[in-house]
Amino acid sequence: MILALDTSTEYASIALYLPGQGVVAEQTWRSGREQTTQLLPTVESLMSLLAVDTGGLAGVAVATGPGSYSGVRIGISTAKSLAFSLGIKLWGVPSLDVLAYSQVAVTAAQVCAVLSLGRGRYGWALYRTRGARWQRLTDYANNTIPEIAAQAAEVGTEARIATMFCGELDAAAASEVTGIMGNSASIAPAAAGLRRAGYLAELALQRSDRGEADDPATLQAIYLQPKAEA
Amino acid sequence: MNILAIETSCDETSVALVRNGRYILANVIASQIPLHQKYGGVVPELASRQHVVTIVPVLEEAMNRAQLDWPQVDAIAVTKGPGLSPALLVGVNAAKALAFARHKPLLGVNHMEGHIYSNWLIPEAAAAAGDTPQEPQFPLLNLIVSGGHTELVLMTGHGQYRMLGKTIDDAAGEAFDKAARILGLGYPGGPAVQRASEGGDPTRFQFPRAWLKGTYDFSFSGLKTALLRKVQEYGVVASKPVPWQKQESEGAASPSPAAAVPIVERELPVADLAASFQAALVDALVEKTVAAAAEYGVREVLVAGGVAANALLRSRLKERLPIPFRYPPIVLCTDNAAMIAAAAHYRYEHALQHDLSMDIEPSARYV
Ligand SMILES: [Zn+2]
Repeated sequence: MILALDTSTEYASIALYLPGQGVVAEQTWRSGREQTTQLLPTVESLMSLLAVDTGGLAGVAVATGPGSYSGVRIGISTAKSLAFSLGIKLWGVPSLDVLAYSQVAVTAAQVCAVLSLGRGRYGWALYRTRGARWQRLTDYANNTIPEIAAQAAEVGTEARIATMFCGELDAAAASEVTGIMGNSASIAPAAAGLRRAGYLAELALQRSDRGEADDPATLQAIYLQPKAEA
Repeated sequence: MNILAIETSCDETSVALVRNGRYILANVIASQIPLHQKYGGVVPELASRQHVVTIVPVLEEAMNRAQLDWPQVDAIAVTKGPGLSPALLVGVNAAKALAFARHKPLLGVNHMEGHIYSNWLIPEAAAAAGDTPQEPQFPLLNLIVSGGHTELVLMTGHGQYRMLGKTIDDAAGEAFDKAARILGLGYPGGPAVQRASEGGDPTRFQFPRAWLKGTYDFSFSGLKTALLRKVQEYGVVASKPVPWQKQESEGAASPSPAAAVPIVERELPVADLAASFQAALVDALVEKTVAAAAEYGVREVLVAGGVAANALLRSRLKERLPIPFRYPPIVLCTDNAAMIAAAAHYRYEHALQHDLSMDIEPSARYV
């Protein structure tokens, strides 16, 4: 069984995933600044629902950001220590990839994954499915909504496709996006904009299938500096 | 009874394994001093980023050195505060994960209690030589002198403290850091000032001692200001390179444009200034400690914290105290996880454990 942890923003998510079967338990909630106090107690209660012990874990997946610096470090410190002490595999997965992966398969549009970094700043990247493969089109970046919308519009216009925004956008941010991009942009429903750790687990297992894993001694968070021009 | 402890409250990533609260099996310390040196102090965000990377290699090395496997570890201890929040977060979350994964009791420890308990530890070399001093005897007096704290604490039993006095402005270690900056000596300040004062005349400059009569409190900001004024009298502005440094870097003397300005740059007597500053600071620490030890009739005095490494402080206390006093070896004076394991030992014996919802406490108090 795989444990997946994501505490990149004030929304936290954890999942237990059985390779070959799928998500067997998942919890996503607004943890705010309580990630340190809530993360492991919630993992413990989820594991007890399934009567699984930590000895039954075969790997840990963790979201590596971008996001809140503290939030990301809480997840990574926890995941690394679990992996080290249990002698099991560790996979880091960027949090924006988790968000995009949940949408990119079900839309023909390019997906603009965004998550809040606070103070009007957002971490974001563009994704698109080409053929059977989905891929990231831009670097992970830290910008304001107008800057992100301008960039997304430019890439979308060139490729002649619409953009679907998904992630932590409140109503004001969403209307700012549509105000700039008009009907070339759509906003995923709020429920679809949650980062869910089931997807994180799946991305980690895809890495595992490619023979990839991370070293607990070197895995680092993604820290984004603000950029005026992404 | 083996405790694994983690300490990440500031700029050291440390993991230790300690047996029975006293015997160090491993005490691995990854210092970040070079990382923060150019900023003249610890940058919390940088410290935290480094802890996230270093924590597992340090953990692994500690387990290897102690030659222990998880079944032989009885509890996981960690510093929960006081300290820098982003730094504390890494150690606390790592410790909780270890405790959860391996079904061990979790023991959150106050960093200052850790410094106190550094005097319970028996260094590896001493233990190997069969040199095992008895445990400190209560009641005892702790002088804790570090970068963030200067405290006189009466201790009547495990976990039983009474604060007799503390600094009302700068901590002793902080005062050393500021003096080092004023004198252009680099960071960290304590060892730099001590080194610079070697061969200096401690009586050349009479710097003020703030006695704060009727209390056991300390004050060092006046001392720092007096040093700054004295340096300025020499025509040297603080934080600019001092003349002897310039000569070193520029080599051959050339006509200086400074000669044209009215301020005469005399050569700064760094050794005498450092020695006089150090003497004033140590005087205050020693006088208060000696007086408190007498008033409370303690059986021992324990000195702990980074400034406990100061040789003048040690020798002056030895001269002045009529009762036994002890201090840790230098490696246990600065932040380390072995002291956290030592402090966790009595918590373990009294079943004072924490659950997985334990949080960091950046301004934790223990008295
Ligand atoms: Zn300390």
